[in-house]
Amino acid sequence: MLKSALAASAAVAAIAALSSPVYANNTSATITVNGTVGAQCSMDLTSQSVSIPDISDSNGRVNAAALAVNALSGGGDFWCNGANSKLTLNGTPFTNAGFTGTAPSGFTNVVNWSLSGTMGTTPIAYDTAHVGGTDQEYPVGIFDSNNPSGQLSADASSDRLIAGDYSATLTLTLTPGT
Amino acid sequence: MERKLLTLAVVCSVLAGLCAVPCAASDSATLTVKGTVGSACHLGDLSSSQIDVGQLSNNTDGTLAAISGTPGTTITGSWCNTGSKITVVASPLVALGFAGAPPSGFTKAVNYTASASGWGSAAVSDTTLGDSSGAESTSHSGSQTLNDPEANAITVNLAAFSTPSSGDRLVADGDYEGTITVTLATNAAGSP
Repeated sequence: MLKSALAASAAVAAIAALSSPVYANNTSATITVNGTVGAQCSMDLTSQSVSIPDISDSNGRVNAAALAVNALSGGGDFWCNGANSKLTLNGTPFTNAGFTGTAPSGFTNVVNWSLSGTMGTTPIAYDTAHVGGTDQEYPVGIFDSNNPSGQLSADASSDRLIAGDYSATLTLTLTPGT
Repeated sequence: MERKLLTLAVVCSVLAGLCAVPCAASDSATLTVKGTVGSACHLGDLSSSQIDVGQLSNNTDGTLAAISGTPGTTITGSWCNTGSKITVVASPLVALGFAGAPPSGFTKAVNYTASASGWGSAAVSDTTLGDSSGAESTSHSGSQTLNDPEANAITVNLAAFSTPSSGDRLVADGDYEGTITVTLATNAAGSP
């Protein structure tokens, strides 16, 4: 009788244990997805020539109105995708390369110019009289600018221009940076 | 004499009656043994906990590249001993190093569709809904319920990459990151 009672109590204990499963009934896994985007810049403008028929006025001096042009008028889309992108400008004055030697008093074969505009939301400027031939950097960051403006203006001078062909250059360089 | 015979007959009858009942009496009892199996699901091991999509933008115009052949990952050894529900929740790839909102025409988020196949006959998918800043204004998930127990491998793949607005350029960042969470749960409406 005692043995039967022990066996019965053991069975009850076993049943009680089975009725409390220990499994977790919810499981999840998290997968990380990664990608990269490299820093890029691009401009539709690779080379452009702005032709100005006559940069002198009727008095033989600089025709400021004729030189008031958008130097970037042929440009399309300019953009950079990196926060630390920069634009570098480097320009040279209008020079009559066909004239050698020293200009007579009251004449010149050099016309300095200034440029002002905006690249994205960054104001840009360049002045050949002060920084001609040297790089000027502007932090342009992330921007996308269609047909940006770069307005030229000639420096005023009382000198008359020596006849000939004048040319100037403006180099724009976009450098990507994250 | 007749009385003696009668007494003997009674004694014999009593003895005969006693002999019909065993001297050591037997007894029996039936003990019922019961057990239970709890409802459970187990999600197995990931072949890889990371999926690297690589370069997201193209080198021509900075917009989203045509992404294909993205490696998937497999979860092996998963099982549920009852009806189950599988759920997939994905979040967009977002440039972690870029603070704030990107300028107009740019995005810091790439959306995609994550699908989990192998658990049941149909794949379960979820498409992210990030805006250009990577925020999602609507919660979303993909799920499927199975009525029967299941034991199978689950394969997770990515597809249908897109930007919040068509033609968006991607901001430069070395670490775009999103997550995919796969959950298995018992389904009370399924088989016991």
